[in-house]
Amino acid sequence: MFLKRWWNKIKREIQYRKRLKELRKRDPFIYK
Amino acid sequence: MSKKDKILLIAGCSHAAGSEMNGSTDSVYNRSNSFGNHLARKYGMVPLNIAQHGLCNQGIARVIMNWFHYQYNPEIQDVHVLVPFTESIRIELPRMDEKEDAISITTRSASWLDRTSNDYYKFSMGNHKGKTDEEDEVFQSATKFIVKNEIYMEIQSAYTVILLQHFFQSKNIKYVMCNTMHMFTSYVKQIENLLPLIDQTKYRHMMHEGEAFYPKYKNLGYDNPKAKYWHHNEEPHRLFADDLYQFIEENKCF
Repeated sequence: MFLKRWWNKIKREIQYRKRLKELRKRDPFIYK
Repeated sequence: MSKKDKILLIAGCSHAAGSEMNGSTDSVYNRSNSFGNHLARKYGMVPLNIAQHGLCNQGIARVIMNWFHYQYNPEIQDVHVLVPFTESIRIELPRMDEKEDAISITTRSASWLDRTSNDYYKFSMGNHKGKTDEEDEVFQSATKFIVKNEIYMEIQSAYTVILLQHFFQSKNIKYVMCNTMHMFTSYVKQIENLLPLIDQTKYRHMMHEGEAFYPKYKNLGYDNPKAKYWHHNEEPHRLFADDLYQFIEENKCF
């Protein structure tokens, strides 16, 4: 059970980082 | 009865301001050659380009409504509005600290300046590093929230569209809307359920990302070597004004 929850957390983190990368490409503008 | 000034109010983000067309973030030349100003000339209207760089959709609505509050005089002005919406995953977050009048520096060529923009942090996925510790902290939490709640951001943009459409109707103002970047994801039930509340005869290609100003001409191969952040140059602006003109004529928006 503990391992499954840990693995799901890792999977969510991987998904988050992947989506973050995609969204940064989608709106790459920097404003000062 | 005196003749009213025919005005096209052009709001939006940097795309509507023609940012980086000549390499500079903001200039009279950029705005004069932006798609909104081209459109105004086609209709013989005076362009009032009040677009601000980095605005999110809620910020665009704020600037428009403030313009009407402080500047609109129906006795002498016949106003039409062009609303180019921006990327739906942007957000503006209220800031409570003392701040410089940054908007006056970055947006010096606007026809009118809504200084209430100084009261917000402007967050976008590319602009995710804060200049101060406090701003950085706000931006870090915004990044997490937005990546995990993309559809919520789109729902908020849909409500902003509905808000502005009702605002214009309440003042009997003619308007047209379009997208400059990604706005909505198709086949998401929460978005689909809001669509009947939006008048799409006044909104050019609302659901079609490929028809939004920035991706459309990027995909067609237009390149602006002067731009650091991929903004388009003169030709795509001119072509997009033609597209908007055609849509307005077909749907009798003006």
